[in-house]
Amino acid sequence: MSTAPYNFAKAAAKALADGERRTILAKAIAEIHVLRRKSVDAMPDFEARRARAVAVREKTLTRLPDLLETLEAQVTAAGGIVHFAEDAASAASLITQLLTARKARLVVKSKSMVSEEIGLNDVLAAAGIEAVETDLGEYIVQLAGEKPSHILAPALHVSKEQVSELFDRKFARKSTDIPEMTRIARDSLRRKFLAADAGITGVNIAVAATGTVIVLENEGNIRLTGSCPPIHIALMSLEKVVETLDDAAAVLDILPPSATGQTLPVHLSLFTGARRDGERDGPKEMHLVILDNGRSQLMADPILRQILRCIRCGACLNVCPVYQSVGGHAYGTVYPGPMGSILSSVLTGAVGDVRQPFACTHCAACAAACPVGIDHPALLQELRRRLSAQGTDAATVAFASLARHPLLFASAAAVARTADPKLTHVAGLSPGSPVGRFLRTRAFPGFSRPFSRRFRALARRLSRHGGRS
Amino acid sequence: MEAFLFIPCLVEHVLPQVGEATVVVLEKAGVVPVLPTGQTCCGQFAYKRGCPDLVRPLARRFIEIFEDAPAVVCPSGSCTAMVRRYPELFPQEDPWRERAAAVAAKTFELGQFLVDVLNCVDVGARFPLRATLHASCQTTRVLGVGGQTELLLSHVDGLTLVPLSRPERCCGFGGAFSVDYPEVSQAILEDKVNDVLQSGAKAVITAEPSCLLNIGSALAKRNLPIRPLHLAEVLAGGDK
Amino acid sequence: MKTRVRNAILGRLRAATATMGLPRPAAPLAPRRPCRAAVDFATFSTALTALGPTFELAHDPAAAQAALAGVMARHGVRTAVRWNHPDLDAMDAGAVMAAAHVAVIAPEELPDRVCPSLAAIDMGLTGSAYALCATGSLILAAGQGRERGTALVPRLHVALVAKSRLLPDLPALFDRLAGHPMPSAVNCVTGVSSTGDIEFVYVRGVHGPLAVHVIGLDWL
Repeated sequence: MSTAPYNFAKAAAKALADGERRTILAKAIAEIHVLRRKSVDAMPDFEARRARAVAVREKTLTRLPDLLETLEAQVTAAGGIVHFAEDAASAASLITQLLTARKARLVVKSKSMVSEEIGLNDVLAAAGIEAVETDLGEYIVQLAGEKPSHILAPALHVSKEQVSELFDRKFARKSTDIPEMTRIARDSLRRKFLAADAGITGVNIAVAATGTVIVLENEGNIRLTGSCPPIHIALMSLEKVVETLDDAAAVLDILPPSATGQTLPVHLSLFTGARRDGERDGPKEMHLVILDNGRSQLMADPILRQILRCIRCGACLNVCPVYQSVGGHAYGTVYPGPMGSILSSVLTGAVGDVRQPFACTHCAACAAACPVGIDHPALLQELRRRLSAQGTDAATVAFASLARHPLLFASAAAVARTADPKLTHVAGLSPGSPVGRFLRTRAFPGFSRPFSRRFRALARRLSRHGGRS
Repeated sequence: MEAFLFIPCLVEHVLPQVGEATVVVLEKAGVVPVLPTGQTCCGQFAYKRGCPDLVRPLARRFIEIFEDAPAVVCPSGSCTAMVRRYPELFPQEDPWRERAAAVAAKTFELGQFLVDVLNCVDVGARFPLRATLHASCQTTRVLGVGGQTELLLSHVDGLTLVPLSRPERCCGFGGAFSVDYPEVSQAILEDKVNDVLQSGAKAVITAEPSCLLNIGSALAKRNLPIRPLHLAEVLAGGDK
Repeated sequence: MKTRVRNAILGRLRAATATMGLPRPAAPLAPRRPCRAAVDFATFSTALTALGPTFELAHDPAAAQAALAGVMARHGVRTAVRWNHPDLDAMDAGAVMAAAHVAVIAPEELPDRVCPSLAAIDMGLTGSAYALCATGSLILAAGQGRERGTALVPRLHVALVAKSRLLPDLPALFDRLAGHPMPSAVNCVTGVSSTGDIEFVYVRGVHGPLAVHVIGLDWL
């Protein structure tokens, strides 16, 4: 196991060198943008909807402990069982023990970032439990032995040729026709749904007042996962709750459009507790696992806790030029993109590059797109401030000192202008250095005779010609 | 009226033509530009590095230089945005905070100054050219004054603006980002340059000097015959 | 141990939120725009059929029976599973299926593991709790005699929607649900299961039914 710290710059460079992956990613991002232009960009009342969603999420944060207690009481009243988990390891172990005690051997799972966060699949596998990812993209990624690259489209990076090869290897069924490949997956997964001892889903939003977990999807695998097996385990991080159904409606007004450009997804399921007396299907046991993993500590941070408004729509990823260029894997962490750069820095045990907050162009496309008004640039700035408090680079300190002394500053520029005006010397000396690589693709125009030296003559010339003053 | 010129270090030492054009434009709009001495840098590079402590002395210098100005005009959205953050660098009880707020309130990006302060949307510019507009992130999203740029350009005689694909997408500069993550910066920049090429424009206009430098130097490296122009240069009326 | 963890987490949250104060919206909140969709079958069916499902409007029980017979014939239905639901009775669905010699499983006849038993069944016939006109959505509520698997496992789902069950949109549905005990499951189904996970090529018919047919009951 490598102990070298994760390096995003290196991972990004590697991702960019993979031309095939870059092409697929660019195509997928372009598709997402067509969908965005037709939905959120065309929405006349986006700001009003966002304001309502912000109010709902802020209410959640302010009243979080009350809402969680109410949620617990309501789920319990509906025949469900609520478990609180301190951290990733205890959540994964809790779920595994629950399943082992009930002799569950085959489990179907649906899309859940939280299950990735707690490393659930590895723990289940170690306990001899087969856990099948049922979201088609996740299924493909699982079969290929990889990690998902996007919150919403986990197999974004996989071409149809690659899928075809995979299905040929795993099922001895060959096709590059995408509908046919989808049918192959459907048949294979159907057997699992119908035979599974338990189903594990994530939670998009939980409603405290009714004890309801709401899940959104287009495929139908979440609905099958939560409906067919006799045990349903719903896994959520503790901030994913709202107070009322009306609050949930405010979030649902803006979540599907921001995520996939839809008004509503194909399946929007509201699960409340276990099956009622007299019902013949639906889970006999329903468990809600509520994960902390550093979030309750984060709540005490007045600046950074804003990230807990996040509803995992993926909009910030889709508009981030860095994410668009390198894809999700390069981040080396469960949550990529702008929201991931913040969340991963504050969750317990999350991996990735500690300096991820610096890998940002400050373009603010994320904040503009965020349906719950998270100010990613401000939060990233705060993370950079905290990281730099431990020490910053000599060049920045030097430049800042120089800038305090106008004569020195001007002299330094004059020296540069004389010695190496186009920076060709610097570029030549160390082409592999950051400045060298910067100049590899840019022809630096050169240091000029300063504007201030030209100003007086210019102003005189203009006033001599009458100007308008 | 008089307005004090806030000249970004990039303009002072690398793109002086942007400063010159700014002076010409202000004169056309009936403003007397004043250049106070002793300017160096707004400090945004240090701020974005996470070092507000290093910015504070620069903020104090800026305040002292500019606080007697009737207005402060800057041909850069990013530098203007940095000055607008100066108040929050100082604690509540610190008198510098109020002084910073007073200066920030009268510091404007060029386009915003012309349209919002002077109510001037037409400076009588003539620039016959087929160009496209790169809507810089700092000007449009951070300061929220992208509309003013577009309005001013719409009144330039002879100027044809062709649409740019994804005009609001970052050019990939991001200050230190371009040096710390050069491959990613280059990839984003390449997309922007390709978008500019595909637009069929003979020039690319931006209101932000760092974008101008970034995109312009990439065009030059590729020997592409597309002219990089600052908003001020277009409003100053073209070739002499 | 379990309670200790729970209390520790809630305790940390209480300490953090103690000084937060009540949230104040930055600007007065605009109320949600009233839904512009007309509440009628024309609006509902336009939205519904744009997404893949098919629709037929029946003005009386005889027309509904003909519609049901027709869809079963078109899809080669030999076996079916049904709900216990007043709208099925109102159009005497049982008689139609019997006349077509379709082998029907009633809820009372379902075994302990419902879903696997429906794997080879051709059609699931259900009523609906509501239907949303703005989006063409079916609202299915689970309950006694109203199994989740019925609308989910068979390859064809036929849903009866009575006119009185039409609502404008999702917020209207949530208003109706609030203040009553929640069913164990409420499914809002908009279109046919789809995926774009392979290269963003959109494919209809993944999990869930491959075809959905809705019969509108105009007299109910």
